[in-house]
Amino acid sequence: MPSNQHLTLALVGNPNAGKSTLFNLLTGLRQKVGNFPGVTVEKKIGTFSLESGKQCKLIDLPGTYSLYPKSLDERVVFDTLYNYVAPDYPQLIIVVADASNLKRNLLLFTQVADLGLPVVLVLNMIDVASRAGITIDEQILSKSLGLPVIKLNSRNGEGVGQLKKLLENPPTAVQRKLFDTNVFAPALVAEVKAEFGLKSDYLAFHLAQQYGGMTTITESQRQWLNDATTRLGFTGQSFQAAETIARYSVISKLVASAVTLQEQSQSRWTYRLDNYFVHKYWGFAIFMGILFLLFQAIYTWASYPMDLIDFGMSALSDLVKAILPDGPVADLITNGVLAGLGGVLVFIPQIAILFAFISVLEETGYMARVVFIMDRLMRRFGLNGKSVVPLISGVACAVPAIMSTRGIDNQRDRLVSIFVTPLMSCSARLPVFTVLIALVVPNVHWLGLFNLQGLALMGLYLVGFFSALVSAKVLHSILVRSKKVEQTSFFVLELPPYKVPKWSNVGYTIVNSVKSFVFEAGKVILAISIVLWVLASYGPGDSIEVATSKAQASYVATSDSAMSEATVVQAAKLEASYAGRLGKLIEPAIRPLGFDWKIGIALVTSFAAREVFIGTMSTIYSLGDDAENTQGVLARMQAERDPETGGPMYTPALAFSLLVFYLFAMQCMSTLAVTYRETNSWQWPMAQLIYMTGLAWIASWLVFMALS
Amino acid sequence: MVMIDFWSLGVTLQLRISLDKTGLTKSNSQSNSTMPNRQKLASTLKQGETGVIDGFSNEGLSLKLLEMGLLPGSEITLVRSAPMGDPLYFHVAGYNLSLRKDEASTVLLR
Repeated sequence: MPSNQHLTLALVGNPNAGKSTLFNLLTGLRQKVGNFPGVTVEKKIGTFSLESGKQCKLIDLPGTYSLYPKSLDERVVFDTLYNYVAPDYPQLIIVVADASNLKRNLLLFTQVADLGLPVVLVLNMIDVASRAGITIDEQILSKSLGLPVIKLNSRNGEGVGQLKKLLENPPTAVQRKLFDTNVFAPALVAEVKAEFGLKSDYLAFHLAQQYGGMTTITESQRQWLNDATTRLGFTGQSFQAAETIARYSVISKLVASAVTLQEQSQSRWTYRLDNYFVHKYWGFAIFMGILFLLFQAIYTWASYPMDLIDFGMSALSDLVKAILPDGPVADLITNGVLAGLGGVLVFIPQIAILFAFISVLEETGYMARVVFIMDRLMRRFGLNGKSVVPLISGVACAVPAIMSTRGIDNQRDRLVSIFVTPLMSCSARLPVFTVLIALVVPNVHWLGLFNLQGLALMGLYLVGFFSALVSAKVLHSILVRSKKVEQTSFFVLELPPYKVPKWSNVGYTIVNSVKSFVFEAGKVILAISIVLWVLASYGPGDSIEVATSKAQASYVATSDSAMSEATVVQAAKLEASYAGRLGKLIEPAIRPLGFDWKIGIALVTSFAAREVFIGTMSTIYSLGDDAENTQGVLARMQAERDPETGGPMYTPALAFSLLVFYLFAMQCMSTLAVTYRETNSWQWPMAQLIYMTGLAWIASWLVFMALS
Repeated sequence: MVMIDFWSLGVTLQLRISLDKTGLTKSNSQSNSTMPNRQKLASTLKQGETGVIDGFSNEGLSLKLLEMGLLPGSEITLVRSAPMGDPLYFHVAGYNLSLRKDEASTVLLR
């Protein structure tokens, strides 16, 4: 066998069957996260090699209970399995089944097997099954199914070697019928098979039922299927119930012959824990406690590595300044590139901690309990329990959070969730919050326990959260009244048993999220930092030179002792630059909020991504620095004086006004883009932009008026 | 190979589901007004009580529930309810499943 041969594999399975764990186990760090074509469902592809040197490409498909999709996420599974012309079309399907809940997991397996594709059945979580007294004879199962069955424990890697050995000589496709579609629609199935050139009856049967929503067939094919089903009077849905029951009866016989169940006192751990985790009062208290811990962690634990990164970047900047001669090149590298790079890297600790938390909550099975206890409350605001996941993920970043609304099957709830998710304070706002809080909130401990700055931060997150809820309520009632969006709502949520998290899975989640942040968002931030440096360093015509000489002249005239000549000249230069002009242009609109044109520049650049605020501020203020001065942006802002009063520029009134503005304003191109993609209309992102920015302006104005 | 008489199974099933549908609409309207306890529903189980599934009153939802292993004849136990009384926490088909009250009320019990 040639060693450069490629084998493309797809992982299919129920949610909670340990699919991702197996994926991580096989591919390690050799994984890439992308999207399925045409949709924004996350697509993870990884590679690994076998002992013979054969290369395997593994596609992780979304978890589903059936090939009949109930949500957009699940639709990807059948669409991918049908689309045999795609370059990544899998040559072998690995169906992962939870051995401790075999019957329900085998339903999806029998469906996939009947499609007539080469299939391997992996019985995962074999350890959990044996603890529950379930013994499975995989030989018998394999014989009656006519395909390979492998027992596996993806938590410790037991059985993986056997799977890899099997992949050296993968099984070929067998046309089998665990369920015979000819019971229902023999004529139609025959016609579809002939028209589409299919070998499998069951594939044709699915096509006849699913063509309406499929993304991997052409319009003319859809029309043909529509005509054929109408002509033959085929009503797809009415057969599904009968098919499912028939399959379960096949499964019961399979299981009866291959599985022995030892009566054993069932583990009561999950129920015992649920006495607390979903308890009337304890449940909410524990959830609030976890959130509290999360924010304290992001605020305090992350500060050490962040200081280290800051220190490293300053040292690097100093080094460059020492090596390179003064001039535009050194200036571009230190104040443009390195300042921007520092702005990206400094985020890593916070993102890592946040995703570690989210990942642990998901791994343990606690996240499903959050959905369970929050559903009733969320429904009051026009959302549902499943909106909690996007809203909580929104704390990290609205972009993946909005993508995760695909798990919500109710279209109206989903639109409301998408609309309000950006109001949750994302990690990009965090540095802005951190710096501004540090400016005006004293770093003391209240009752010797709670850090006051941490409490202020939590307060901001709560305000964001409640504004999201209230906005959801308003939007919900508007949508209900307009009756534009029809709804079919299933909640139906599995509550998996509690598990100790597999730490390597947590690690992969952290690595993937940090990687995608650094490479996706980082590119934008770096580019903007450089553009900004140009905008702040150059102006139209000779305006910069004119402003410089004017400032020098006037400085001599007044001789203000509070500011050095260099600072006055730099400020004049910045004011004359392109950036300064842009800031001045919008100054009248933001003056009532207490903002000046320098903050105006930051607001403009923040539209690309909020985190640019800090970079912008440091670029703007560092332009006045001499070579020895590389203090952090915080010190620079503290030193900034109000040109009118001579007092500190960043008064509590201004800082809180700015905090509130960043809390509410829609300042993220990526979020608008993903909202457009998810809703497939410009109406929604535009509404988000106008609503959130309007809300920000009004709230900031109120705060500024109240405090000054 | 396991063999099964699909045809007869399919027919009896369809019959039963369509029967259930009509029977159900009736029982639902009754349970809401005059005779609340005539048809036992999964939503009317008491904490810790077990019932046997008979059928469903909502066709769309029944497809999902069947796929999740809620087959006619199988047992369903109410483990507890959420802090605000809804959704409900069931043990069914060997695992734990959460349904909203209105969803559970479409599961008819014997």
